[in-house]
Amino acid sequence: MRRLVLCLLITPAALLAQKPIRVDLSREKVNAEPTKFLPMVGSWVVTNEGGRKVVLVDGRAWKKGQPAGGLADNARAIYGARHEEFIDNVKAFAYFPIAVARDIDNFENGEISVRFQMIGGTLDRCSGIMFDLKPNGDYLAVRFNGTEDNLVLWTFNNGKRSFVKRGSENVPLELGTWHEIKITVHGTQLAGYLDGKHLLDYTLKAPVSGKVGLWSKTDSMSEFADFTVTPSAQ
Amino acid sequence: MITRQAARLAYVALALATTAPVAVMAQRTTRRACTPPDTTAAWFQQQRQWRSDQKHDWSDDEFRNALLGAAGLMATPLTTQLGVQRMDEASIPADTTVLSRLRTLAATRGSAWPTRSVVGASGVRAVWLLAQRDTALQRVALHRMMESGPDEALPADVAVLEDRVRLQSGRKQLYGSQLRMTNGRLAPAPIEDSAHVDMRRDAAGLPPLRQAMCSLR
Repeated sequence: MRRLVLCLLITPAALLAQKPIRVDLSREKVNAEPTKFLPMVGSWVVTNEGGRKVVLVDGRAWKKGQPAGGLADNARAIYGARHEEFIDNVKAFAYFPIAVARDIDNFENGEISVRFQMIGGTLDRCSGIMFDLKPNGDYLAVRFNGTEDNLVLWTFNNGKRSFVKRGSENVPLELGTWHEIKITVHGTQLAGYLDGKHLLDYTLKAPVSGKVGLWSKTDSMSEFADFTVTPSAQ
Repeated sequence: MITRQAARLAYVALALATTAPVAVMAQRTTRRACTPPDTTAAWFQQQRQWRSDQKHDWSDDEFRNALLGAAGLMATPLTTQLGVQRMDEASIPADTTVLSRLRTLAATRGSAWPTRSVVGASGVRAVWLLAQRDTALQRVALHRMMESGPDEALPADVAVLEDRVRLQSGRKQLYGSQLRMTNGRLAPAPIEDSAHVDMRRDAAGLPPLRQAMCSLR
């Protein structure tokens, strides 16, 4: 009986968490588009940073209204017959480069984390996690913006970007240094962290269910590494 | 009949003819490592295209003229933004009327900021110059320029203004544009992530820092 009570006490999140899935870039080709992240908008390339492979979003190539060159093929790869609806909506968000994690089919509950390093960007210096990506191109994003020093949750619905919630405090980060964004999702409860610091809490309108990936904005230049998804049952 | 003036001109011409080659040679020796900005590069062409006011496609002539007058740009062609300036560079004289108008716009949420489609490229440069007179104004100007995007504000100007704002708030600069005298030499104030400085300058449409510094010698 005592054992049963102990089990019930320990059970919650820790025991329900499944094995982390880390997107492995070690076999990617340097100076080529990543294959583990499918670029939908923007210019994404694998680079070598201190002897390890990372994904760079290069805002120097950003042009208003121009999605990634392989948008149609990549959209077809993840959404099959529904890819045209996805493409139409994504084009409306051409200011926001996104790359979809190819091997994560669906994320509902758990943790997503990514390490990032801002390198530059005159108008924006954004790095973020995209999640809840629907076949119609709608999604959510939690991002850090180095020009504003804040962590913010945004929604993207039917071609319209909407501000949802800002992190509880501004955190200036130095360019050229690595940091981590993490989100946790349990049902409709979302939390956002920057370098382990809990900055954001929000109750979503509906539970999350969709693809995930990397997010950026306009001319930002950022590097990403260690994109890790840890699903949990709830 | 040779006048005194003609004689003087002849003397100057002779002096130039004999000393110029020596001076040029000396110049070449001392500046061998100095490569001036490449005017055939993409950044230069982009800036030239951006700063062209030939189409006359701005909407507020009156405001533009006021800005140009206040910034002393009325009779001056718009120069290329090389992305280097002395931190102690003397500011242009203040025109309180225009500055007040800018301050009012800055304080009014949702007001139409004087961007390229409103006051033309020269007008935007005038705003950029005037904003540097006022610490609070330049912070708002930077924000508005960033928001308005690359068609409405020259990214190279945005970059230089951001460096000024960062240094004034105690942070390091990003583009190496702010120079100060250190041990008798002009050098950039501390740069954050200096390894990528030229990558950032390239993205902002500025020449490499070394080339830009060369233009100051």
